[in-house]
Formats: sequence, structure tokens, C-alpha cells
Amino acid sequence: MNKFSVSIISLSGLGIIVAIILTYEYVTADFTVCNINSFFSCGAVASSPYSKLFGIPMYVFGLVWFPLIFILSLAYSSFGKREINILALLPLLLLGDIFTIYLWYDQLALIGKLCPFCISLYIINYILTILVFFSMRQ
Amino acid sequence: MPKCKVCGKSFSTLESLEQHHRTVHPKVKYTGPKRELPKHFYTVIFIVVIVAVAAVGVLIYTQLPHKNTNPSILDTPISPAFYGNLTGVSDAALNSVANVTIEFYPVPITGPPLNKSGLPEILYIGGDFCPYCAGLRWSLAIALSKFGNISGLQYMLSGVNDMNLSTITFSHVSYTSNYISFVAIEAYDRQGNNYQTVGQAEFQLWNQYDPARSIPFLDIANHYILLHSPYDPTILKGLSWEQIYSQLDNSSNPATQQILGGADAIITAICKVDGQQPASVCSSPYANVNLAAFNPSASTLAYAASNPSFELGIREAKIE
Repeated sequence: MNKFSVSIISLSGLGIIVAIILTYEYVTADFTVCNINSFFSCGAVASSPYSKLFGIPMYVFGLVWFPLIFILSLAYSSFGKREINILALLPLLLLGDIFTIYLWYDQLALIGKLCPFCISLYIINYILTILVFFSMRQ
Repeated sequence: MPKCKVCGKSFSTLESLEQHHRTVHPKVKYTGPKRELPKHFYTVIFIVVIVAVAAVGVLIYTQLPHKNTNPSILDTPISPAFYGNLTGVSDAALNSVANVTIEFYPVPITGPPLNKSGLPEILYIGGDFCPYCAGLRWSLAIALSKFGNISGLQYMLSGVNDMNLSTITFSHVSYTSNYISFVAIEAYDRQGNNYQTVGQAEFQLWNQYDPARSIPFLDIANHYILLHSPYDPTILKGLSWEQIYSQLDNSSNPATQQILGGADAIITAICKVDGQQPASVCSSPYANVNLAAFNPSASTLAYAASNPSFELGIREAKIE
């Protein structure tokens, strides 16, 4: 397994961990770890009706997204058929990147607060996209 | 089909080529051939990007606040559902937030009793543009509805540059009660221009208890004053009227907790000035919030001066 595969798998694993922590905070409504100040506040974001999309809390998206990326990352590594999985992984990550435009808009324009853990998930997705892109060129 | 650069042997996959190289030519550094992208790869990427951008665009458009905060309904009567929810908040919901901490409580003052038509007078001076007034009006309307019949409420948003908060205006309010009277003056409109005239008597009180004449100003029969929204009104930011009023009986909603917490504090103060009437209201837990727990460090006036509720420098209100 090359360094790109290791990085991609590790990073998507990190995404799962952060998504689980975020979910735990939402479910228990205990945001002590994630509330930095009045602006960077997961609690403030969670309490807004805009923290749901089509009635689904945003944390659910992360909880589904990163395990999916993790499985595809494993498939994309030397464990699987890279040529096939690259056709799924990169477009999917791009899809996620573009979706974060809405999430940024949601938090900044509609709620007026930022959720640090959510942002870290977006950043993980951006880095994964870059890594997959470069590994594809290798 | 990938070929070994050392011996020229062909392989069906890159993995088998790499495996062969590491086994047969372990001393030669392996540099695999450049990976060929799957057929139609860029077409797939292009389609994904276009579809995703379009979907996000639609999402953002449908979530735009204008959908729920249509200025064309400003200054028109609130809907029956809105009115029903606002004036029909259950005792259970009010009780359940009786211990919720809010930002500002009415503070006691010692002035001559303020009465109108023989009843303790509740005087409100505010402005449609003012976001703190927007926050206060939600709590005040709920509180007043416990003592009588409030009507004439209309849709309002605080100023476009003042958070654009969904609220109601008291500019056409009517109030009937057996226990208290209510005087409301919206001294400024949504653009911050002078609007309703402040009478001489009201101006004297406003000037006496808040020389900066900031808004909102709430005088509860000259026994309590509140010079701020009871809670931080930014909690209403981005919420439509419906998103607020439909949750007023849901005391687990954070915005509801603050609005009702403010209502409880105002109800408690009113009960203290109207002889604890009606008993059905004033004997309830929500009407017995510990106002003394909120203890401004200095005198009321010093407190008011150090906590200006709205930026000074707004134009002087129109005085009678």
C-alpha cells in the first residue's frame, strides 16, 4: 500500500471519528468540547432549525458520508481494483466538496455561527479530494 | 496492457506487474507505468460537478430568508394561527422555563405609581427597526396576554441592517384588561425614522430612568423597568415568524426558552404591581420568578447607563 492509500484511509477514518463525536454532542446536547465562543459554537448551530435539511439533522450526513468514503478508500487502495473505484471515489468526494458550499452558506448566512467540528469534517473532505486527485496522477 | 520494463513480460493488471517486479527484480527500483484513467472519467466528473452545483444552487435558493420574511406582509395583521400560538402559550410551557436563565430581568425602581384609567400602567417605548425591541415584544405580548386581551398585532422585521429579525409591532396594538393598562409607542419605524409621537408624560419617564433615551424602554407601573431585550435577540436570527410562533409551546426549543423566560420575568413583575391578580396567573410558578436574583451591581440608572440597550446617536424621538 503506498503512502497515498495510507493517508486516504487514515483521513477517512479520522472523518468517522469526528463525525461520531459530533453526533454524540448533538444527541446528548452537550457541546462543551465544541463551543469555543459565541461565534464558533456547535450548540448554537445545532439549536437552529437550519441545522436540518429535509428534516434530517446535518450530523447524520457526516455519519453516513465518512464510513462510505472509508469503504471506498479501502477499495481504492491496493486491496481493491483501483481503476474501478477511482471512478466512484473522486466524483463522490467532489460531490461532497460542492455540497459544503451549501453548508458554509447555511452556517454563515442563515445561522450566523460556525460549528468547528462540522468545519473540520469539510476540511477532511477537501484534503481527501486533493489526495485522491494526486494519487490518481501517480 | 502493462509490461515489465526490465524483462518485457506483459501482465493483465498493474498489481500483478508490481508483484512480478518485486519478486523477480528485487534490486531494481519499481516505477510502475502511469495509470490510465478509466474511460469517460472526465465526463463523469463533469456531470457530477454540474449536477452538484445545480443542486446546491436550488438548495440555497429555497432556503433564502426572503421566502419566509416577505416585507409585503409587514404592517399587516398577524395570521390567526400566529395570534393563537402567541396568546395561547400554555401554563405548562411557561412553568417549564421558570428556572431558565435569561440575560436581563426587570429591575426595581421607586417612583410614584404609574396608573392609567385607575389601573397600573405598563409603558413600552421602542422602534420597529430595533432588534432588541424585536426580542422584547415577543416576551411582552405573551406576558400581556395573560392579563387581558391584546389585539392589533402586526408583522414586523427589525431593520435590514439590524439582523432583520422576525417579530411583531405594537404600532396598532389595542389592549383591554381588568388588571393593568398598556401604552405602547413605536417611536421609530423600520428605517429608523421618527414614527409615533412620544407624549410629554411618557417622555418624562423615559428621560428620568434612561437619560440616554435608548430603546427599548419598558416601565412596569414605575416599580420595575427593563431597558433591554430580556434575552439576546440574535437567537431569532434567520428564523421566520412561523418557525418562532409554531414552537412557542415547545419549551425544549432554545429560542422558545428565552422568549418564555422573558415572558415569565415580565409576568412576575406585573403580578407584583397589580396586587397579584388574577390569582390563577400570579400563583403559578411562572409568575414567581426570583427577580431579586438579578442584582445589578450599582443603582438602576448606573446599570442602565452601562448597559445601553441600543446604540446611542439615534435621532431624537418625536416628542409631543
